[in-house]
Amino acid sequence: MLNPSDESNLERMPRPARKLSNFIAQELLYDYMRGALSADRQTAMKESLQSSPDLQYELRSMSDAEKYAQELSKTKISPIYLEELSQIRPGTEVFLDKLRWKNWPDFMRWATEALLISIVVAVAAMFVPWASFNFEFPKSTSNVMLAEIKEAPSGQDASPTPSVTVPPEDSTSTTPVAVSASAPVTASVAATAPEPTPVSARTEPMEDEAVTEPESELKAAQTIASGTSTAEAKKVATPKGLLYRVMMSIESDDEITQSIRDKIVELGGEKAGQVELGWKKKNPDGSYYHFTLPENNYQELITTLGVYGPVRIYKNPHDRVMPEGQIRIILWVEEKSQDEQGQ
Amino acid sequence: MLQPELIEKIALFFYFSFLDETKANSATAHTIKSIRQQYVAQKKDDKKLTPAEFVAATENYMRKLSRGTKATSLAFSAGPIQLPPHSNWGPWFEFRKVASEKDFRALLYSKVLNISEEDIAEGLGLPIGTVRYRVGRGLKTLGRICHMGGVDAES
Repeated sequence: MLNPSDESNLERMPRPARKLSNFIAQELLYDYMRGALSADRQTAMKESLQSSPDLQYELRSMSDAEKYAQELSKTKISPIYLEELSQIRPGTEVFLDKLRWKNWPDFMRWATEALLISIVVAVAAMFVPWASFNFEFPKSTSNVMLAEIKEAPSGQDASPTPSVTVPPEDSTSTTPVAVSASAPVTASVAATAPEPTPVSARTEPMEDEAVTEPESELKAAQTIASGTSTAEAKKVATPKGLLYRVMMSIESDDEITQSIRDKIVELGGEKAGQVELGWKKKNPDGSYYHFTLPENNYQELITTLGVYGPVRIYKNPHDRVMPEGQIRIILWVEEKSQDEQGQ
Repeated sequence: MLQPELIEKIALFFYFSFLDETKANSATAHTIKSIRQQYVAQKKDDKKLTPAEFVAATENYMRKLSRGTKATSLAFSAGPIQLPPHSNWGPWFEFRKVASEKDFRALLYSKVLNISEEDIAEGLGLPIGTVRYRVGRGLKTLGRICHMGGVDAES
């Protein structure tokens, strides 16, 4: 406060002692108890307390209340109950805990492990390059029908000139080559000629299979001809050799058998199995020819055979590789029964 | 896992608030579950629960109850809670009935559970002056009750 009497020499006048009202003193009592007031207010509160018994009573009761509260704060929770409380978990946490691997039931863990192992093995089996290991797998039965030659209907043309669709020289080509077109042709290329299969497990000499091949392999060829898929054929990996299977179903007699045999010999064919060319077999009845032939005479042979009836040709991948310019053929001429002829 | 001291404080808060063992146990379990649920959802470590968060959680629970929280009788067994020797629950029981909810809780947090006024203010979302005012008023009420009943805190 300034001294108004002497304006040239302004001095701060001492402030008169602050007097707190009873209401303010009541409100500041807690802060006074805590010692949180400024020095001025602290002094003023002391003066108010000295002059007011009510304030003194209030202060004493607050102090007692604080001590009482501090006494209550010593209350404890028993350790057992505290342990129980610490185990309380929300439903989500319980659920997540049950999802943990260690909490799974044994059978679920085993089943999962088995499933994972199966998947790993399956994936490994799919991606391992098995061909590079050169395992000897069972002989492949994937046959490919290159062409089917049917005889012309008897009413249309009496001449024996057949219509033959044969594969070109290159056995891997997929385009049949028409030799003659005078008769109707039913050529069905079942699949692209596959690369020959890898060497199969069987390696016995050629002669050993001569007798057994007609029955088993002819049946296999007939079965496969109807159902062999392109996909299977494409699975064949490494080219080796080819076995030509030629099948006919005609009304055959000894004369035809002899003429076919003569034609084969004339074209340079040589017996390849143990049985002679034109070996007669029973049930099913037919003639069996297993022979080698110069490759350049192959088409002429097929053309000749087409004279007698429809010719079905299959090229089977085989583990036996023929010399250059030579091919191996198994010709099966099945005799038509009287019933079939009637139909 | 919550710190044991905070779990104890949660339990004590509800014991001093309800003065009923059954209600206090239920409220404690519910609050602990709620806190942990939040921490699971937020992928936080509930070891880091702060006193302010504790205040907010308990206040939230009491706000949901909104009424019927005042005790009508003391219902304690000798099991979970261990009272200090020679303790007199009479003034506190009377204080629970007489004091306003705000003053009661402010005093409970500050003087019984020993949480700092800054944390209380943060947990309640109030200025610290308001908290101090409520604590002071609560102390006055409790002090009058103690004096009327002839309670000597030091006895």
